[in-house]
Amino acid sequence: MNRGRKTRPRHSSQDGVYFAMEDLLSYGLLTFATLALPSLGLCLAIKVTKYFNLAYGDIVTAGAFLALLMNLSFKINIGIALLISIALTALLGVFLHKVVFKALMEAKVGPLTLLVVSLGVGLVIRNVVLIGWGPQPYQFNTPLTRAKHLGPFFFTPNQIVMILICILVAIGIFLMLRYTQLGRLMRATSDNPSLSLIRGISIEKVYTYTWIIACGLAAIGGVFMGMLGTIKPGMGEEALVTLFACLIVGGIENPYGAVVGALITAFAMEATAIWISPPYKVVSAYLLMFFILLIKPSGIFGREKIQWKYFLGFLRSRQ
Amino acid sequence: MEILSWILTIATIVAIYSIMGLALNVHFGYTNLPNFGIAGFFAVGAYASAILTAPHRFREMEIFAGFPGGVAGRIEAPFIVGLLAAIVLAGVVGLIIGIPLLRLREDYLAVASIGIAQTIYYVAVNELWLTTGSAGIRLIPMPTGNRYLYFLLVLLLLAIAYWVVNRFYSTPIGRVWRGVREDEVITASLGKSIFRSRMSAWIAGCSIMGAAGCLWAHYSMAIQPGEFVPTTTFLVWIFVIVGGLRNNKGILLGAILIMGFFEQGTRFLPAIGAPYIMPAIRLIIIGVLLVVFVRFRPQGVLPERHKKIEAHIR
Repeated sequence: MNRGRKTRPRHSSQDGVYFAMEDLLSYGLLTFATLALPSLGLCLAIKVTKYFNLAYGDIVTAGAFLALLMNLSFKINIGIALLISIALTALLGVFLHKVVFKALMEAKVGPLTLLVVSLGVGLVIRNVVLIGWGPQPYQFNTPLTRAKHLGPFFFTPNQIVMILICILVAIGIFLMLRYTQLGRLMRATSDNPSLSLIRGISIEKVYTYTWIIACGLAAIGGVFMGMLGTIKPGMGEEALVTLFACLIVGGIENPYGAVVGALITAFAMEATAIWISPPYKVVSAYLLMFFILLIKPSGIFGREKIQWKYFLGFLRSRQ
Repeated sequence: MEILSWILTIATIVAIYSIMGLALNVHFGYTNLPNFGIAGFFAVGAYASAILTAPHRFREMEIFAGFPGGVAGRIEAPFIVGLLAAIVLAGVVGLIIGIPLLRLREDYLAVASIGIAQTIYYVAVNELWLTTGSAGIRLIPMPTGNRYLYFLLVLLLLAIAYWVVNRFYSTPIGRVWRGVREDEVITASLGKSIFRSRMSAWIAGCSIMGAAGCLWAHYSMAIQPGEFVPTTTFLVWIFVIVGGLRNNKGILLGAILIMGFFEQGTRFLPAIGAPYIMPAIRLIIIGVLLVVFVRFRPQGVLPERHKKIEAHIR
């Protein structure tokens, strides 16, 4: 039964509010599926290691390109390619930590120094990928499927699987943090590294496991971004600040906040794409980040009150 | 004659980037404001000057080619107006951006300023009426008409920027900035507003970056958004860190070393394979260099020289 939906163009605001809302729900959920896991991984990395890793965006790129290598060059099915890519990206993350960041963290340099170093690491990863694959965009070799209506949503089977994987993995990470020994160790190290060390926790081991989890999540995120769009060397760098926007909206060291922040940011981005202008959808994520930083720097789940006075009385404040 | 022209090209680019490095020294070296949005302020300065000074002929060409004629080419102001507009506009943009940003801790500021630069980039790509989009603005006049004279002009502005930034080191406001860098609580207890002193340093640095952008626009005579990507920012950061953070001579040295040799010096080496490989190798070397320097010599080639207290009191 054709109800005249299939022929409508994407992002048309003239069709009436109902169809736009339908687009918003579908694309918002898809964007959420690409953003949630990397932002959760970045959140765990920042929570445990206490510095902002700007190489994370390029680790996302590396995950996507490793899956691309398996999928296009070795003709492996995309699902298995995803698993191999998770393993290899986790290895890459552990390698980076052991070679570059471990010595600096032991030398007790500040978080800002580590941030600058991670910038250099990201530059190296990005350009190695550029040499290997060139600047042109790629796509995964996946079977063509037809999108179906599911209530208000409009998804292909692949996209449904992506959203399910995203939600299940996120729930798995939450359960891991709450109920397993590793989760307890990670939370303890995050709260007080020196006390954990005195109580006999091997901090180095916790860092290693954190990197494995964070980079595995980055690989999943990279593959999902590649499934929805194209894969190119600059994709992670573009996504990095969006990931930070998700984290800051939800509160930077709060894993639940990271996922909720990803949901809010994804819907804000897609709403901008539908009602304002598609090129500015990333900008809307940044603006959301600035707004949250201005009125409530600890994120929407933070304990402090909303500071409206910064919004108006910035010229009078003496602090 | 060709080799002289090539050296002149390198020297001009190095001088323009040195101005940005000096501005970053005001931000990060003096006041500990890690600005990762240098490309954004560079773009604001470049576009401000380009839009004001582009000739009427550019707008006529755009309309002839079927584009809607934008703001660029309506005014055709002289160079000095463009330069002043670049400085003022970059400062105003810095002021507006600084209100939410300068309350943040350093690492949040770093990430948020990357977002600022990206926002400015997206505006430059998408606002066709203002910037003519990714086609960019062409036919920007070179004020001296001659590249040799223009190099002298750039050197003059570099000398002025160097003098100003060096003066900031020991003037009262510069001392407050360094106080904010070392310990905010003590500086606040002496009655100085942290936010206001951070803001003054931020605006000063942003204006100098805007001036560098203006010089770049008039040197290359055509600008497009692709020049104002984060890589520009990272290059400035890397030569500032390698050359010597907080030391203006070190920044000039770092600009000559990194920008001169790595960015331009490999131009005559034989290209290996595809055209994108050589720049990628350069950037890999620069990234490794950054990591090695921060690990083994964090103060850079020339470290900060601490003046004796008597030099300040006089």
